[in-house]
Amino acid sequence: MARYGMVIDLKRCLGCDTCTMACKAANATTRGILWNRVLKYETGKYPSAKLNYLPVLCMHCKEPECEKVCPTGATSKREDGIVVVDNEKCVGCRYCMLACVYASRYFYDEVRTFYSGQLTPFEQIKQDKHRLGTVEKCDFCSERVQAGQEPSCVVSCTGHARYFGNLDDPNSEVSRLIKDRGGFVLNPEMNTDPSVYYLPTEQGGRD
Amino acid sequence: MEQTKNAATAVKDTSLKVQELAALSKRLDFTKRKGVHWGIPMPSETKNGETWVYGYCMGCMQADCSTKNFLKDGTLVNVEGNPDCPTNQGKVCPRAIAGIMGLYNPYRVKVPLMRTNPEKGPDIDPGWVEITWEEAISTVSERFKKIRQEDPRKLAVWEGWGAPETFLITCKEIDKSVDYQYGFLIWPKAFGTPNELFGRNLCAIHYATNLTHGHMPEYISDLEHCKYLIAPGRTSGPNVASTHATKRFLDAIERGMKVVTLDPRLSPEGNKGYKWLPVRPGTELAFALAMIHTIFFELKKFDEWFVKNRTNGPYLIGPDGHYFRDSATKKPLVWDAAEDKAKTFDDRTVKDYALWGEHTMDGVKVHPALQLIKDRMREYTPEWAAEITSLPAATIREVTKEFVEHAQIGSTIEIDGFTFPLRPVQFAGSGRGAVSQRAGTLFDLAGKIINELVGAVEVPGGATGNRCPGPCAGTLQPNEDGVVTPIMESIGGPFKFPPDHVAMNEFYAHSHATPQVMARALLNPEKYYLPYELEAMLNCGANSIRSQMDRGIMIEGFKKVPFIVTFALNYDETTMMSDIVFPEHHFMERTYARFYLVTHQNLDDSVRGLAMALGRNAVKPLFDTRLMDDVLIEIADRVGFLKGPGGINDLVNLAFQLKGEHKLDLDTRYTIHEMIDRRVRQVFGDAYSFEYLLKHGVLYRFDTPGKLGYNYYYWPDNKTRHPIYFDRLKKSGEKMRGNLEKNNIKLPNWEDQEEYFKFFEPIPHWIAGPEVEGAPPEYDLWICNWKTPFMPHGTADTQQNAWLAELREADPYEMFVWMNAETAGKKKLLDEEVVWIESRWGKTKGKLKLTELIHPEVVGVPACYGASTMMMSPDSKKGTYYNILLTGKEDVGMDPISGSVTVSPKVKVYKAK
Repeated sequence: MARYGMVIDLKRCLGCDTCTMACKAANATTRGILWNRVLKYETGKYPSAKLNYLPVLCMHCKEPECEKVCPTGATSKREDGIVVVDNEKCVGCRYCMLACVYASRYFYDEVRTFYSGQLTPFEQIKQDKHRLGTVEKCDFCSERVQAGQEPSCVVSCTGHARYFGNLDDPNSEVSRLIKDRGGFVLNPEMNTDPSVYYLPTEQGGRD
Repeated sequence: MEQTKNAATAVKDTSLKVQELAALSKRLDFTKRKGVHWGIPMPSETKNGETWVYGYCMGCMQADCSTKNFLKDGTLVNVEGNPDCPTNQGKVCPRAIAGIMGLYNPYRVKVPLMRTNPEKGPDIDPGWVEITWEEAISTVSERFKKIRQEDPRKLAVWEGWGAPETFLITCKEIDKSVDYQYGFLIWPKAFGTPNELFGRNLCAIHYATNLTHGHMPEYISDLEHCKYLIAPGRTSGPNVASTHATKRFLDAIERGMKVVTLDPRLSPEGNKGYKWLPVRPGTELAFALAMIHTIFFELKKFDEWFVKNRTNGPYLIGPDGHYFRDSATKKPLVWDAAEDKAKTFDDRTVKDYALWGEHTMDGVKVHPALQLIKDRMREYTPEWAAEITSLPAATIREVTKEFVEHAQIGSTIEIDGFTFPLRPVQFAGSGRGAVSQRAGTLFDLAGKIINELVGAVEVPGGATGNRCPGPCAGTLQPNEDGVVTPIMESIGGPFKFPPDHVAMNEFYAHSHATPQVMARALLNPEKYYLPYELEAMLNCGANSIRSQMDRGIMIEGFKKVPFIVTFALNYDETTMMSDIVFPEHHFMERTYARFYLVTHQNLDDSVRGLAMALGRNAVKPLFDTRLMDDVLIEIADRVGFLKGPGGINDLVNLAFQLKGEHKLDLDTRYTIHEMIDRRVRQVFGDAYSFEYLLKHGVLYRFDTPGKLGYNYYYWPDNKTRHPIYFDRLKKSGEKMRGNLEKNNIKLPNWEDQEEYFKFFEPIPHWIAGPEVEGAPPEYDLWICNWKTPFMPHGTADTQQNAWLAELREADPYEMFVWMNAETAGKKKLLDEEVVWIESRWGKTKGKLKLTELIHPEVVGVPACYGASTMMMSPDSKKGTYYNILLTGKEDVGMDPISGSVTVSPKVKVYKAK
């Protein structure tokens, strides 16, 4: 069985937020909830400053803290490595949000329409998979993956900076990129073994 | 990097299911395919209520990203890129996807409207009443018919980036021999009005390229080979997430290309670059002049062969500043240093073109043009430029040295058996951030000189031809003086007095657009010598009240026009000033086609020589809207200029270059789709139709790949010359002076007339302008503006789009006023503090973002937010409105050559109480 993972090439990422928008459209999250975000932060001082981009999403950890703390079993890790939330079982206690190392979970507490007070046809047809009062997050577009496609953020990335595949296959592109380019995870010291890797901006280094 | 990398992974990863394996191999290298190609056919039926159709995005002016638009029970639910399209190769930008929310925007105009309140303003209730389409069209047609009979000049037609695809309004740049200025706009030309107005003079970046390269709109970077790119005030794609331009840029960076950005702020592109040169805005001209000085006086190294054989550098110049001509043939003369005598420029016995020295001929002193250029550059030392730009002199020297070294002067490359000079550098000087300044055109011309000095012109790696007419024999064709034939804006409009054009094109002969002058002329027709008054305006995709400057003056100018008709997507300022409103389709609702125009940013072999058409299948319109072309055809038919010689059909034949059986019969009424069908067949052959294009999404062919994609190929060696001495510009100034004197008039609104003429000299020179040297000391900062992925334009109503609004409000930089952190500290201003920003021309408010990413003397405001109307969405009112800080007053803000204005005035910033 595959262990699905993602690789994001920070050398190519330009912070355009196409991934954020692709996720928005694919998953129809309510206004204010973005399952994928691009963090933007500065390092250095003028005129040697840099702006850094860090797309973040659920890391689909191999050892997810969220699963450990979920009282109802709503959060579970599939055999293929994707961590999902069954919103029928979720009671909205939000313990998982506290436990998540990467702050990648969101509480759907209110319907916030895209255009003030009016539901567009898009929202009417696509938002019923969300359930008020539950926690939700990126699921690697699990239905698309089931159908042999890639997550929307990967498909649409303007910079061709995102990859998806089987981390357990040493010959897969994701595995080769991690090996050849020195892929790294965020906060490895938390020992959750995330499935999202980043490629550094410079050879062998990271910002 | 192969665009199929993810699919390739999927093939190898057997635990994933993969579909369409056979189709994958077709995507690997588009350019190796011969003949016409197309995408896989879209599904012909729905499955469980779900399907997808081909479309293409119109989230920016490029409109060349093919998409798959996914529908569920008729509702648009997702947008992805089409992997079979050679441009975007399966990718999209945020705006393409956000098109879904543009379609479903409840703040759209839904029905035809007529105003009942005669008082007009963006925040005044028009008293709209709904009318039928028949009433709307008949009212407009009757009015326009009367105007056409009396004086067609009295109708002005606006075109803007709200309608970049509408053929009857935007089809131009087709045949450079047809019209001097832009080609022509079909509908206004058929109507008979000279008053084509463009809502975009903050990108007047064409003159210099029209003149020196013979093509339109500007020169771009050949990223296949470029190794060193200097990018002043522009983007090669990343700053606006231009999909395929971004990929090519990133690929070039991975290949090792160095990018030097000359920009007051650190952009996404600069972030990936080699050097960031934070320059004071509006001083880029000083930087360019210092580069030329450094080349001549310090490095003393340039491409002598290129200058001698492919520029007018050796042409002898007389005391009057013009070519010194042979008395018998009138041909420009050069000096053969080997034989120590003058010869005509085309004398093939010349052994050595002199670039330096002084000679006496017929009792007058003459000099090679390059000698005069060098003399003029003497004062422009790096130290001089350092004072003006704030860049260290050492940096200016270092970048110039690196530029010349990377140019590999003397090197060659063989492409398809043809040997080209290889010059892998470009000074990409046609960016609006640097050119929309007081002396912006002179800056662009100085940039041309820099490229010419190293021979990086129309050869691999260098500054290369854009799109009109593109790589072909016509582009670099020499004129009677042996110099590249100028086109379009560089030719200059004919002078007429009294003027015909309401935006004073007669006085601003080379301008791209001067709506700010139009507004003033409407308010003071006598001062502007306007012999008539506008009766009507027809707006097709422009909103100059917001997107230009002088908002108040523009509104007052609009009020002077008795009858305003607008094709409206939303209730923007122009719509709110209208008398009749035609609600138009959102782009997702238009079944249409787009013929590929080479981008404004860059190219490489993946798109070199590409001829392509994209097809869009509409979703069912939500409201009582129509396609702009359909209404334009109906009005033209009723008014009487659809058919017959000079009518719409006749001009469509010309603009679409329809031949033989594809030509429209002049006396038959066609739909726009029938016209498009003929164009598809004309370009690709009769095996392909519009219907075929819609089914397959894309049709393409590589007409001029490889060596054919470089203009040098058609006029190699010494067969043509680029102007490096701009004799033509001097002539323009003299012609204008002569015309003013002849008619005993002055330029409107120039207190000191000589300030205007200072610009019309044949050698770029330093002109500071009122912002650089005239602002009182209390205006101690500069301000600059840039486009972003969320809003490169207002096209497709990016401002009201709810998804773009959500993302930009979540962005830590987008909706803020950028200020250098140290500067803010000195001013005791805090992060997120609300401040006023005030220029001498207006003021605006915003929230500060303290940052290290901007020059300490500069504040920056992204995009064009903050200006709105009473009928637009709450999202549209957020943000800082930049344009209010600018002025279009001629002798203060304008570049007299291009008609553009200074986009970076001096400002002061203080706490808002």
